[in-house]
Amino acid sequence: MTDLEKAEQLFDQAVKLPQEEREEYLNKTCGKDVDTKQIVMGMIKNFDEASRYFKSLKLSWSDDFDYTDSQLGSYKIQRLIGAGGMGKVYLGARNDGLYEQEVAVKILKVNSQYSAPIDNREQQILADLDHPGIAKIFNAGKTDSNQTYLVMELVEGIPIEKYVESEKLGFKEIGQLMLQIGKAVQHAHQNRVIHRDLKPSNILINKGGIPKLLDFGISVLDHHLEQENFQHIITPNYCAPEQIEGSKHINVTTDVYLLGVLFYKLITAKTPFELNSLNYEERKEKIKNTPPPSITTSINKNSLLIKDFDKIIARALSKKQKNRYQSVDAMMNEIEAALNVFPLRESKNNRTTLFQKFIKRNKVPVAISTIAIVLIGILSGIYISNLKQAQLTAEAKEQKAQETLAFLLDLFKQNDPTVNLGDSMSIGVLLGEGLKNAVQIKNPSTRAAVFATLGQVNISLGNYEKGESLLNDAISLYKELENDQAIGEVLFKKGLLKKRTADNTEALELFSRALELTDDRKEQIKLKIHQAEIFAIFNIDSAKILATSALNDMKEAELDRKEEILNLFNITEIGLGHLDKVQTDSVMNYKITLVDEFRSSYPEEKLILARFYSNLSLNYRWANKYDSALKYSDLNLDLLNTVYGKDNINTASGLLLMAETQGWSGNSDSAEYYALRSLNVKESLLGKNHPSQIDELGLIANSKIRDGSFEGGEEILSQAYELSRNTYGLYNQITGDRLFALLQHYNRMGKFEKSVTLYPDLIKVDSTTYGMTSNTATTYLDYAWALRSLDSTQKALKQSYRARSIYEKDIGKDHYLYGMALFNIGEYGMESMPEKALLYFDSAVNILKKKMPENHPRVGNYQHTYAEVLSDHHNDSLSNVHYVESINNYNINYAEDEPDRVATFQINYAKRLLDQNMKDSAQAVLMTASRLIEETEQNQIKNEIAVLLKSI
Amino acid sequence: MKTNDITTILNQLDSSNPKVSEELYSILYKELKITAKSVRNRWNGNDTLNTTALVHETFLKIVPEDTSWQNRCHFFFIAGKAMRQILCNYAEKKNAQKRKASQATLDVEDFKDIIPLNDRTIIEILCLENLLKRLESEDALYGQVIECRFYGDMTIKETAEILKISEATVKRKWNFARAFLFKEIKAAS
Repeated sequence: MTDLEKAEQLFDQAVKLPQEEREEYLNKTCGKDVDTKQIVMGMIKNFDEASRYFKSLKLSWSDDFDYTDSQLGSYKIQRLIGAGGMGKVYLGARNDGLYEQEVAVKILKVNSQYSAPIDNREQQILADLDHPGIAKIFNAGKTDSNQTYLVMELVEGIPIEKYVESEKLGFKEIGQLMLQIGKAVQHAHQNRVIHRDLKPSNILINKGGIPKLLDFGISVLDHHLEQENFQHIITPNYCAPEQIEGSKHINVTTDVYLLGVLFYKLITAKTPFELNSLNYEERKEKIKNTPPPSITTSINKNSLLIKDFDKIIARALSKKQKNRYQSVDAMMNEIEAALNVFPLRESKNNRTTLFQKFIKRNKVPVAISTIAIVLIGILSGIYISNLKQAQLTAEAKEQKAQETLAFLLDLFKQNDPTVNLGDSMSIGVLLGEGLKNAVQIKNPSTRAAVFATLGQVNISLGNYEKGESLLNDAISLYKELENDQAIGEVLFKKGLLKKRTADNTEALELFSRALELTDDRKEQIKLKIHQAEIFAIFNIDSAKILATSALNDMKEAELDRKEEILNLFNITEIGLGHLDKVQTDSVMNYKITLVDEFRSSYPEEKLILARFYSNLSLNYRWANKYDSALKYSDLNLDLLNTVYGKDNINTASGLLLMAETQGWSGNSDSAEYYALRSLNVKESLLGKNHPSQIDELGLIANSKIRDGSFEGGEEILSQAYELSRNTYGLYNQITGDRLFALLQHYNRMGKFEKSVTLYPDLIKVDSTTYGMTSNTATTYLDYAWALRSLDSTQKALKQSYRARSIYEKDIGKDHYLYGMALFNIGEYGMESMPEKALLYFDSAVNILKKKMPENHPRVGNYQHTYAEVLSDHHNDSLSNVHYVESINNYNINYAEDEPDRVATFQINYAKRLLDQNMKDSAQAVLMTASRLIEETEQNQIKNEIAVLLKSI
Repeated sequence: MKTNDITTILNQLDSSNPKVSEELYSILYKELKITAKSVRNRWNGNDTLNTTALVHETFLKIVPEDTSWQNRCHFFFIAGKAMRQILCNYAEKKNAQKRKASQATLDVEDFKDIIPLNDRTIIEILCLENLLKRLESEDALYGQVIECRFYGDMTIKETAEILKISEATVKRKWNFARAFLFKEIKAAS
């Protein structure tokens, strides 16, 4: 076999294999013959290019025919007036005697499937394409050599690029030109015609300065135009990723991309990619995968307009079709908005709008609420005809609405909406007015934006249901408009609402849908952080993965330091509760460094700083460092007071935090004081029984209970639970927390008959919010305890077994919680299975001793119980060991404050020792007890000791 | 040339007589030239041609309508050969003119209007021809497949029929030849 034969055989076999298996096949069959393998691999790799090469070689001598003086249909070809990728263009004149007309005749280079003559359908589409910005196609036919020709309107004008250059057009004028072109393209799209080959040479500007698009309609006549051929003739510089791929999904977004390239070229005089020196594969790679450089890299200007244009172009040039503008209209609206110095309607990040500037310049956050009222007033007023407003045309009204809307959006986007909550109930009234008028807005994209804004405003006011339904309305409108980016944004908002209302599953789902739809890095980072924060509750591994991914994204996204600090601060929040002491300390130190840096670099950002303080306070509270927690609660409250004043809803959030921190620090009176102040502010602004008051109610109840007002406390606890259940539904973490507090109270009061009826609900809530994790298992154990207290021992045993198996799966057998479950099984199983129960006790105590902190009082309790059980079962020696250990434990924990308690245990132990006839030991124990209570007034215990000592 | 004669020749081709092939070849070569010339003269009569069309035109002119499918294949096979020759000669001559030498032996002036080769194409055709000859020296089948598929515009099926090989073999040779030639052309340029 010759080398060539061998190569042919290898080539033939390898080419039939799936791409990923080829190399392996060649490795196997070629063995040491590396040369042959290399050659064949190279041939396979370039095979597509090879077959294109032979096609083009053939075209190069097949199509260069000169048609001058030929007769095509009713037209006599006069002279060549242009040539390009698609073919040659001749000047033609009608000579069938009907009337005189000069036309352009274009001979298509490629072999098209079009079969002359034009059919009715095609004729109709061409008629529909009638638009002043589109060169008309009068007819089409086939030459004798089977080439397609088109008879088109003769457009006298100069190519757009030359026009821009010779007229020295500015960026604004280029934008205006784009708008005119966009209108023509949109007209074609409305008639279901895609251009596919929009490029500067296809756009002529006539004497009146009006752009005319050539070649529209080629795609109509040539709907079968072979993609492969098309691919070959389209200029790679003006080619969308899906075109170079030969994808069949050529649609309006393809033209959007091409308009993006055109816009890019007109502004920078360059195409987004320099492709001329590259081969086909390299070009393909560039067009498919390399993001185009920003237009600001090519021009020396960095005006607001250019920034806006840059964003518009970047979006139009998205690699994925779904990420581009979903219509030319949407793209043109943004260009128009940029030209009118309105903030971008569809882009979102870093908008420096007039309003934000105003706020910054004036540095009066107090005024925000006032301005909000004014703005909502304007929004409502726009559609209410009065003398002034009547003069506004419908269009002007919509524009005005949009302007107001942009203001409003910025207002509420400044920070977390809760922080910017308005001062007065009148906002609610105005909102209602605004909404009534919003439904009358005709332009669907304006209407959607208004709905989304009003939805957010409602949410910030605590009207969650109304807010959500408005967001849903906005989403459905955007869906009709096929505006993925906007859908993504509203989904993000909805996710934030769900996260705030602790509807975590739903929030996660919404965030991930939003993540799919947005191609904005900064937005993606935020979404990932939000997801990670939720995951941190029940699945720390996923939380870590997301947080890491957000961190990685941050490296690539060009964030300014402010954004960076914000993201870092949020990320360091994730999984904080899972760290040990040393790790927690170092993370907290890092967070404080971040906050310090932020405070010195951005002292004007008081609200963000306040948020940092409140987070730090929470972190310290969770780490049981109450002094630091109080310090930051204080700093937070101070800032809010200076920014908003005393009776402000935002200040109330600071009061609530302070109340919680005080409560945790054990200052129950201060806790109640701050909680009541916060409640007062909220009640005066939002009325009684508003969902935002749940936390305050809980705190006040706790304080009342601690003061011995059990009935009053219980009433408030159940009020908070009902409120949460009505607002968020049963299956919600907040409702779960409220229910837990209520059940704890019932248990404490011995009202087990009430608590056992509600435990199944809490278990359901926990399993949905936490899943089958230790949180839920602990609820099972609490339930078991309540059941046992009602003598339903068997039921209690069943719940304990459940808890055990959940613990085992979630945290393993080497955890004190698992030990606790075993202990409970032992306790509840004493009657029905005494032998087994002892074994359960034994394992439980071993685990608890090992895994709980040394000398933890509960360990003493467990050991004491175990010792008594052992003693009952006449296992004296082991019982004594546990008695001694438990008494040591009590000594350490209670000797100072409750010596009588320790003494009682000791008496108890001495009696057991006496039963075993161990008089000396009993005497020693009694003597210790006696010394312990020597200085107290516990005469009864003293007497008992004396009696026992005497009997010895 | 009478149509009868062509039919006779085409029928004889079945026996794979090289002499018959040669005869048909020279007839076709001449006919193609005449057709090309006549096209030039009939320009005002809106007749237009390229190489593919030229072959077809010639076919229509000299082969009777009722010719069998097999004979049609034979015709295009030989026409492909002729076309290859015409293009190469033409490119050679143009190239020679460029180098101010006159070594071309064949008269290809008649094609100049119908095949307006540009400089790059000339080089490419010559380069392809050199490489193809090298390939043919290993296995003549490569040249034949290229003549049928590339120069003669024949389908896989027609090529398989005329060369008396399986369609799979045609595909294999055609794919490999293109991949191989392209690799060499790239290396040469």
